[in-house]
Amino acid sequence: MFRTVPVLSFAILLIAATARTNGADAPAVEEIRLAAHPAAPPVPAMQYHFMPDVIDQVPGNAALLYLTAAKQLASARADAALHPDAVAANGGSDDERMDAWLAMPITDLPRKEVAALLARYAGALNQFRLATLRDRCDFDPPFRTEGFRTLLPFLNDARALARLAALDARYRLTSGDFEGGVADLSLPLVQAHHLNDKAFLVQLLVATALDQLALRQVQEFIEQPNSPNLYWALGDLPAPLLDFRAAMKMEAASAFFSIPQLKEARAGRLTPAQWRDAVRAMGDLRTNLHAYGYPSAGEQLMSALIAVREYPLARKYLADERHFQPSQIDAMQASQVLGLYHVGMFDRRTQEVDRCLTLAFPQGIVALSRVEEAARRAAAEGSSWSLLDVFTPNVKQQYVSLAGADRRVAILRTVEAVRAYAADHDGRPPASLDDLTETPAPPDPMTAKPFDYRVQGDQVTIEGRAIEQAAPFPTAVRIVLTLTR
Amino acid sequence: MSFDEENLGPAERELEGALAGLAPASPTFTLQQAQIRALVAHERRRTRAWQAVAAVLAVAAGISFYARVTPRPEAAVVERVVWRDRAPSATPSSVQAVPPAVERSASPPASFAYLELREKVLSRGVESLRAPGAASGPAMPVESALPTGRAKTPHVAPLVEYLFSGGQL
Repeated sequence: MFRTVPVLSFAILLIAATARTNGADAPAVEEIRLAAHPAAPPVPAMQYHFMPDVIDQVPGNAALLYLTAAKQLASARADAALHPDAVAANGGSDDERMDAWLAMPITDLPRKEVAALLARYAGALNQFRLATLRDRCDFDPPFRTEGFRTLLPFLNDARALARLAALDARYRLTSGDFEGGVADLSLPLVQAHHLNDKAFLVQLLVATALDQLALRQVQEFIEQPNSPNLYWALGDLPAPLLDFRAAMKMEAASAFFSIPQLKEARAGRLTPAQWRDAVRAMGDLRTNLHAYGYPSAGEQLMSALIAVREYPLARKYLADERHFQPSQIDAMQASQVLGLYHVGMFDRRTQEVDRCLTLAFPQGIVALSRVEEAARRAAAEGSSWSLLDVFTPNVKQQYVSLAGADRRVAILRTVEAVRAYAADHDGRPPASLDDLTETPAPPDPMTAKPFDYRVQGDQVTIEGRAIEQAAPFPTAVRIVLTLTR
Repeated sequence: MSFDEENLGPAERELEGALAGLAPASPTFTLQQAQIRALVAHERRRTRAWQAVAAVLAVAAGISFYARVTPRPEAAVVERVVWRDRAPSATPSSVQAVPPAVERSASPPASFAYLELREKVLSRGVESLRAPGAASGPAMPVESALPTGRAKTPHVAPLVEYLFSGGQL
């Protein structure tokens, strides 16, 4: 009896915790409430812009300037950390204070303290500004020779620089310096655009975070009294913001950059000894990815057992799909048969994903869901899997994440379209999005259809619905805009 | 020498008489006290043995402590410049049919830094990229930019399951 009570209690707690977790994971609508006044678009239209004007651009590579900015930021940060008393008196490190100031409403910013901190990072911000004016950016990572061994140190302080720019923008907005605010917000957006070039997936995820950081500040911008309309400025941003397909191609190619034999394997040119090296390297890659260490004896045994299990599948693949004669297959070493099979399966899978990404998101997500389902089914039947599949990250999840940033731009642009309409109609919002003729509402990039739109007096609701095929990842977003006089 | 009582001399008779007049003195301790002393002596021997063991252990502990706190002398680094002849450049005839990149990759792979970074970012978000030296402030809400779950990560257990289920993953 005495033993049963704690066991039952534990079970009840476990069930409660599970239920709570499930509730938290349920897809929810992200609701953003904005209160903004009507505002006509500026004249000239591109008075405010988030991408640098060609006239202002400077020829050259921005990479060195980004690295210099990061170096200066690190130096200022280290100087501040040398005075622990001051850190304690300020209520935290510079990074902690910046995080807190970025999270609070602009009206609550302690202007004097923010100005003092920004003054210490002025050098870094200046280098950052110069970098974004360069007409190209190439960090030149040696991915073609190093593959998955490539280091990307320039990502470390990318977000810190973006936070600095965002804080400067917020500071400027407190004094009504909208032009300066837009110029500051353009910094992370241009930085993200620069990171988009020849990007790995991680680079793109960092770039998305930079975009989202800037777009959150745009929401605050819109709410400021007398804030100008950013309808055309938001249209200045690249659409889509980032090239997901290029990054995924880079990820797939990196498997071949990491194990050069695989490239030769496609043409079936390698010797049996090199095949063995390639298969061993694939195993090492897999092990390195997940254990960061040398494979244990158990894992090596497991690899050997799997190879035995895979061999008949590999023979079938070579006969059915590569049209090898049985005598040719018999003449091959087992490692060669397995290598051809795994490379072939990996190629097929990456190309299936790639074809989906040539489509616009609404069609692409449907196609991608089908491809993933087919891959799951094939794997369940034991007819299609590759050692190299483990190098492919969760494609759908990242695809949805990046499209979410594009949707954010479009929905904010719709807000600005409504503000523009209201400025021309005595503060009244349009009855429907079709009424927006001078500043048309952009379609939702996730559906290629107009956003859902409802009006209640001075309050409008603009909503992007949840994308069924994107489940379980949350996609729904709603902006409730109250027009103030 | 004989001790026949019949043949005792006068001196011996006198001694005999003196000795016969002696009375035994009363004992200074009782039988119980003798038993206790015997027990104490016995136990003292055992105690000594344990004391010896403790002393040995104390000495061993002292030596090991000393060995730990005393810094080992660093190996002396001797720098010197070594001149060597440049390796002869490969002649066209010595170039093998296999591309150099293929040869290079046959060596043990170095750290797959990017993969480690990608795993970190996919599992912990871009916040995990915060540069060394930066304080760990409140996490930036990157949920909309980053996945909430982990990337596909095969483990030994699923592989075992795969192997023994006839290829079912």
